[in-house]
Amino acid sequence: MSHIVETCDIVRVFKGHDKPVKALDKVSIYIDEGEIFGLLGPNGAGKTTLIKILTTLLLPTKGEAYVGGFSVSKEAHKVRQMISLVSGGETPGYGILSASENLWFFSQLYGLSSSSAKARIKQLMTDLEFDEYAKTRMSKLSTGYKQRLNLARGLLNNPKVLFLDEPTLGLDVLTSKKLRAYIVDWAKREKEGTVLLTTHYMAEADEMCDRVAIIDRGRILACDSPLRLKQKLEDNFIMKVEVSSVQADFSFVDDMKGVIGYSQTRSIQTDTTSFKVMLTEEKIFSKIMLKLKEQNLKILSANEVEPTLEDVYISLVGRGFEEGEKTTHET
Amino acid sequence: MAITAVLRTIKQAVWIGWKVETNWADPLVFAIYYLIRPIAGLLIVGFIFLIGSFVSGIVDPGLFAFLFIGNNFFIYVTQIMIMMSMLIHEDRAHYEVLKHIYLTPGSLQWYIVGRALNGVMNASVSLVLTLGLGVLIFQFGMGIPIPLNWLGIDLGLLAVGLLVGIVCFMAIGFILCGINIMTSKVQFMLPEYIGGILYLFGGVVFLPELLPWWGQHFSNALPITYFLRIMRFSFLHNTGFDVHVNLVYLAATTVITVIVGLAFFRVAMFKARRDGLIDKKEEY
Repeated sequence: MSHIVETCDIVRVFKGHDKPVKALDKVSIYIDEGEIFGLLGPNGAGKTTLIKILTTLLLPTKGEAYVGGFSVSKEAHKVRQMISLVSGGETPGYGILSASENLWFFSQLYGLSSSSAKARIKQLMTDLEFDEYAKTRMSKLSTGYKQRLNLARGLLNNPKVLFLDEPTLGLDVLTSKKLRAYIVDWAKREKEGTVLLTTHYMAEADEMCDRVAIIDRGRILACDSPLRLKQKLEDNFIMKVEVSSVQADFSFVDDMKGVIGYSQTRSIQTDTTSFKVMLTEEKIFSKIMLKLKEQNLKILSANEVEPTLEDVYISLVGRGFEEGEKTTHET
Repeated sequence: MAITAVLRTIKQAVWIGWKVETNWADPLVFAIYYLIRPIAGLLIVGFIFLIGSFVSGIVDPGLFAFLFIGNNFFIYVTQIMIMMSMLIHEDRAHYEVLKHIYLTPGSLQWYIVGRALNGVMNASVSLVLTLGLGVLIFQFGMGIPIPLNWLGIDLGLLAVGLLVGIVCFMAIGFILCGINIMTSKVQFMLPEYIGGILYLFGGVVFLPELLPWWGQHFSNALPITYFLRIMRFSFLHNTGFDVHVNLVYLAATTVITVIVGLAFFRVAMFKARRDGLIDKKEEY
């Protein structure tokens, strides 16, 4: 086994209310040692399901996955000795215990000796800048500090593979940035430290990951470095328009030839809609602008933008990440 | 798992269990709660006896000793079962730590054993309090002579019986853990229902011989029946049955319960992993 993580045609089916739901459909990926690998996709794409299978919390319906060469289905106890899981949006720990007591508890379950556990806890609390809250009850910590504690717990055992499931979910920009920087730094410091990160934040995947797999509805649509994924869009034109109405209607592009896909973000606070469209030819954009003028919409800005990972997703799926966005495929 | 790792896991589980049990209130409030709970249970049994004696016109100290020992030692069943029934719910839904404990190399089973030992500690403190206070209240306060020879307690038999009984109740607790991992919202009901069945058929407050024939057969299949006989024998000595036979029956029913309990738990954990229930969120 040359890869630290490998999945072979993983299928996972859940019982649905009406019919079975296929959460993963023949997912095959690999991650090399020392790599930060991103799994990028919208909510419900199957990211968490895959991470649960790889961390031995869930069994696959079909297929097999290996971590460190061990089967997650048949050799789960060996897999658990080399992994750790940190999930965003949850606060695993006893609220009645202090931050350091929570870390102590897990350090003992990981089998660390007393002296090395004390040193490791102190080091992690200093590195993640929450040592001043060491004696504070976990329930009294802010969301950001709870997540720092959560990450510290995940790093206690110095895992060979660190699984991060939406680690910056619900955090402010500054805390997210600090945690991202720390994770990248950790992976560099621990030369064999491998990270599998699931996220629906494009910038996070772009900034942190050596390679990214884009997942949608349980299927891997593309897998490469962020740069190479974006380079594949070099022949296309990505235009961004901002108009002064939250109710702007862009459905007319569904019928336009040369439109690969689009996404829109509406802001009720500013009463604006931001519209991003991917085109095969630049001249199609002038037709779009004409249509917008016909609707008497005030155009606040219009310019060509550099491709992002979201654009890669749009080019593959025809729609953006946000729910309710309309889909269009070139015909 | 190495012995040291097992002991470390158990130690941490006992410590966390104690913290969870005690950290919700200041020490004085907690001490009052800790005292009131067993005393209330003791008084209920005492007054049942007094009312029964008043109605029948017969005061039988031997019967009171039967009730007194049976009820006091039943606390091990309730404490262990409540602790083990609640911990899956608390650690999964409330503290969200169950999946992380499951993912550590330290075994979840040994962690559960450690948490159950917390129940044993609580039960032991309650037992000492109720034995002492029971004598004070009923023997010296109300003049009911309790035929207990405090200096003649068969400590060896008591220790062996207690040890085997605790192992057995933990095995029942593993069945509750298994049910709770596969379900939600039954964590409060389970120890009450199962505790109620054991209380009724286990000979806690009356002899199983008073039950209908099918009830007697059921009682004979329960380890609690033999556990309480041995506890009573170690205090009262002249209980009218062969203690060695009952010790063998206790050991045999415990072995069966342990096999069934651990097998059930393993199957439940497999199903929980198959169905994605280990980190299931509960919404109310």
